[in-house]
Amino acid sequence: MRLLLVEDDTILGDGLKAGLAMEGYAVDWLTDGAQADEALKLNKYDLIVLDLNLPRMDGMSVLKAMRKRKDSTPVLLLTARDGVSERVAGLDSGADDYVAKPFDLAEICARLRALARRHDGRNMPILEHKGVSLDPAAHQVSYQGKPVELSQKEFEILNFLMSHIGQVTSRPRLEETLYAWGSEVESNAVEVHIHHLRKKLDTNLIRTIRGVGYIIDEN
Amino acid sequence: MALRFRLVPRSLKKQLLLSLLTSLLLVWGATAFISYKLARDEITELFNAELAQSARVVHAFVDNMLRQRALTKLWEHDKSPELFDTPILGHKYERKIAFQLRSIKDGLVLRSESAPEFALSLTRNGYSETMLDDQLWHVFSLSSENGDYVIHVGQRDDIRRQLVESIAGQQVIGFLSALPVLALVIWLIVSRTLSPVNQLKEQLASREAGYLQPLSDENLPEEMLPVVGQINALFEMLEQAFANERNFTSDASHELKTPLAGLLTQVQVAQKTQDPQVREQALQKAQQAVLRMTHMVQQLLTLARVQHHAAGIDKQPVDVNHSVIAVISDMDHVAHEKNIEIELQGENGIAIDANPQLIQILLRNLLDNAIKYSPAGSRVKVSFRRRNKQCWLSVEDSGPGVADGDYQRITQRFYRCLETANTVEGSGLGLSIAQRIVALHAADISFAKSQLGGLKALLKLDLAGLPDERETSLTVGTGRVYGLKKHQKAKSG
Repeated sequence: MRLLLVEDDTILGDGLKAGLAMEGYAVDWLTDGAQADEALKLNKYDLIVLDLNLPRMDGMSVLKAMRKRKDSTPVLLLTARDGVSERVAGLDSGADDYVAKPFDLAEICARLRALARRHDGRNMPILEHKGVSLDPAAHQVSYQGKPVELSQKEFEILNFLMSHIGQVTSRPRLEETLYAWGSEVESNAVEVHIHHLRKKLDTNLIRTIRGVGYIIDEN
Repeated sequence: MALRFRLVPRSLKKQLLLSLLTSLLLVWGATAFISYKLARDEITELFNAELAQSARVVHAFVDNMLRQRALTKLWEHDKSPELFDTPILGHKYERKIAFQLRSIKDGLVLRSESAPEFALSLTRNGYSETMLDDQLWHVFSLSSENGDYVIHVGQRDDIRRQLVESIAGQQVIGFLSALPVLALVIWLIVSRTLSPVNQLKEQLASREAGYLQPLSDENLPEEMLPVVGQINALFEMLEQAFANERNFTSDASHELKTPLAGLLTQVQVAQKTQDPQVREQALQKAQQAVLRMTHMVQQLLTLARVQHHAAGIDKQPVDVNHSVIAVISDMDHVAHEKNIEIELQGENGIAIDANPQLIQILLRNLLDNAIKYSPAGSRVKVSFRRRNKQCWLSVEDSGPGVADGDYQRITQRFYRCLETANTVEGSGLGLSIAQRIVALHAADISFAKSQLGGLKALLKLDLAGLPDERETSLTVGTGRVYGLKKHQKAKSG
């Protein structure tokens, strides 16, 4: 999943980027609000982690601007203030959740998973479809009750497609969820991962729609 | 006595009542006493006049009787003296007066019932006092023209005194009975007059400790307005101090939470990762976070310390050259790392009136800022000179400087310039500390653009009364103006 991290503190930002990357997120990290605003206009993200206290444009303004553009990407706020007023204002401005600094990396990850789930309109933490069961928190996949070993990228693609069952996903969209800025994208990488997924799971699970993209059918 | 006064809080109302009532009682008592005396004297005079009057009436009567021979008949008829009785009392004081008619030849001829048998007086004419049977009599005597007989009209002293006392006493009783009424009236007036004080007291007493809204001055007398004004001014000051304190705590927690979050995250990344290179990097960052927080905590403690410094600090003559050189040698390694040249320019023998420790902290913060914000390989300049009765000391850097509108804000706590917030590690407290120390010295600090391109901080400190010659001779150099340049070796590579 493609995630935008906006945090001006270099050490915290660096730690979050590393920690979230380990969870499989493709993380773009920005340190100022105005840049974040621009990036949000140009790119499609699955999740946003937004600090409130930012140079040039504060987090609240970034949040309000994106909600005004009808951008409904889930936003997790990072706050350092003690008072509830900032949190209330944040939630009322369209944030989906917040964590107070200092926080546990595991908590951030759990909240992000919950946000993604809610955004996809699900409550169940485990995705199940046609005998394939995917646990986003544990990063585990099983097919017909037996555990299946998947690479990080394979897992991300399966996760994305299983979160959007019945919808066609284009190859560039899948690439976006896999690669952060600056990471190299091999031209046929997505095809290779899909090929591996078909081999490890049911061959008919993921259907290719020529010239459009990939889909996991509802039935 | 003094101890008791200190223990018992003085009540304005009690004091006022006590002093008013005491003085009233004293004046009242004196007046009552004097008027009692005067009344008694006047009544005594009145009684004496009455005695004389009665004597003359009796005399006229007796004279008339003698002329008609009635009286001669009377005492020829019976030698025992006639009792002149007054069975029906016309007035309650009537019997208090006794009279005697004495013939020189035959003795007592006629007397009133209340009169004794012995002669009331030996005086033949005029006023006298006689002791008879342990009784003092006031007597007025009048003798006939031929001297054959004498008339004594007398009054017993105890009876007279009783009368005098009861008449004069009435007056005192009147006085005394008015006293409680007057006391009550005074008490009411005092209470009424002091009610604004009470009202103020209640307004204050009903307050929570932290409630610092101004007091209402409604219905307050003119005399109390300055007091309430002062109290309100104090409240305002306190409110500001509290707000400052609250903001400080809030800012401090905010500023510490972000690096803490960074530290925690880096540590967790290090724990979780399988990649030794990622772990190594995360641990390095964690260490950086700890160093940064250490610096922040130190600066916070310094700020807290200088902020809670009582207004009176220990000042002594401090040699500027000495202090500046000490701070520069302290910061030398930091400048060396960035290959920054520190230029010193100043007069020798300038002593300022200051606290040496605080001045060192002040200079270190200014120099630390200058080095931090100057790019590697550039210059920082420290200069000082005598100007009027002050020492003007400036620290200039080659950094990006501050936007025109921001000069006011750079001394605010945790304020960090946008342009440098990401690139320069700082607590955002250095200039706040500097400003506080400047305030403690009643000195002045101002900021402007430096000729080196960056920020110029200008301190104006008061000179010490007399520069200590002995101390200045210890410092480097003897020339009036000298320059000290520290050329740093460029980093090899």
